[in-house]
Amino acid sequence: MNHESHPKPGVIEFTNLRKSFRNGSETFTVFEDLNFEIAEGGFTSIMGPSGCGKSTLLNVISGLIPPDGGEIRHNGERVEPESFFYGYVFQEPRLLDWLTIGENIRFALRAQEVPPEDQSGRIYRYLELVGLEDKIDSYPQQLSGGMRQRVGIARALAIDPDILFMDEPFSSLDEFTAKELREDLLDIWQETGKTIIFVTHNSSEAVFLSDSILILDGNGELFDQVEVDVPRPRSVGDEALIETESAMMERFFTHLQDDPDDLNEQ
Amino acid sequence: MTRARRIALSVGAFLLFWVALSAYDSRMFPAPMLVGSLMIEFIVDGDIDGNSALYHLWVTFGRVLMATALALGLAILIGIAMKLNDGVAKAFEAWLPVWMTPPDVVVILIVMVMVGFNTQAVVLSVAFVYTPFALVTIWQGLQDIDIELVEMADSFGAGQRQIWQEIYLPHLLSYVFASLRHLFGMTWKVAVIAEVFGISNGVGSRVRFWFLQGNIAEVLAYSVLFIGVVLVIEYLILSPIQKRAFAWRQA
Repeated sequence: MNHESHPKPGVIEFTNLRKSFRNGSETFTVFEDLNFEIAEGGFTSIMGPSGCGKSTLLNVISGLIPPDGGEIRHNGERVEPESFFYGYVFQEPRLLDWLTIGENIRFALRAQEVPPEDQSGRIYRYLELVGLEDKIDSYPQQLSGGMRQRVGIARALAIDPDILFMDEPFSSLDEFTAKELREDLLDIWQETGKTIIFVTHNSSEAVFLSDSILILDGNGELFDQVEVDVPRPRSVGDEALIETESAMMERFFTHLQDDPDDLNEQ
Repeated sequence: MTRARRIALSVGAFLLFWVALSAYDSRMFPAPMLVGSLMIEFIVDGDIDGNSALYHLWVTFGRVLMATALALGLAILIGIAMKLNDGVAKAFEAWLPVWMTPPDVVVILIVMVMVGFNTQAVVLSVAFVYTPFALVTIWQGLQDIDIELVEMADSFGAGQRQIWQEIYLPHLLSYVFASLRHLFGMTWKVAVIAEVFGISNGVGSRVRFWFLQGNIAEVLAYSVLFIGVVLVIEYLILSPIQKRAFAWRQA
């Protein structure tokens, strides 16, 4: 396939992505020959069972760890992984407990060398976006888990990244809080127009949030890419969403039956 | 029961016990009234060496402060070096238990023979004895740093300088404080022992003098003054500073 001749605007293409780790003399392949596309401005989820390499894939896409092979093209042009300007939201909020909420966001702004005179305005704007502007002087330990995760989202957005990477950001929250945050995340996404790459192992979460879902099996093989065409705003329990999810899960389990080894972590 | 009443009750019980002891043997256990009046006399009119008790307390306090600062400063420097270099870390980890072992008195005597019977000797020997204890706490703190926070900082493109300034050092601060309070409680004692051995001023020197005269009441008067100063520093200075510096902990 010749990518040079078919530049795709607004698309990030990943071709033959490969990553393995060496442990002594043994080599453990997380994934190989991975091919997929991510639409700019879209909401893409990466889904799969625990240990399938979702987080590793996210780290490779974000340039935190280098891939062993493969290439990445943006608008048809070849780019290095570290050339994407991204904000990262982790599974845990990872806030600095000794700094106020406002100062936690300033930490990221300073790291990005945002001019000091712009910092306070941005801090307020993004805290307002996640509904926590009145907590600007509170300390992380004075907030609930859901609020802390919102601060994590505000911090990642405040640097105004091209891509927002989210690594199972709601998996350690209770379901009520998670549901609220998912809905708010969609509002924030629509308001900011960011490209979001979201890692999850929760199929209904993936279906509710995403335009497109990449599904990995236990061997790190990308065997399915599901487009979710259900119009927005979506509501939890929408029949079209439930249908998409069950069709998706059925294909996943059929795939496992064909090759039961695929669930195993190596 | 309110806090004030609880305190009043336990202090009252302590004084009562003291009075009972002195009633049993007033030579071995001088009454609190006698010790109290000696304290006032030593402060206001001065000891028989012509200096006020406050002067001796101040001299001892200065030595304790210098020794504590030296021990803590050394511990922080060594700790950071250990964090930056694996070889340094291994060397100090191997030698720490040895460094913690020599008896205080032996260290004091050797240092005094080396540098003379002066303030430097007190400061150096106390710092030598307590640096390894401070180092254990600091090293623990440097190892307890949450690696996930450093990953977070990396993902936002923070440099080493920012990571040290805003993650390592603030994290370390709570260990420095814990170590400081712990050290303060201990350095006093060894500093006074060092003074007893051969210094002409400071609380230890007066304790030695009155002990050699066989006067228990005067020895007790200095001890009580000394305990009072340590408690004042602990509750009126260190504790409030710690509360303010760690406001973020009160969830």
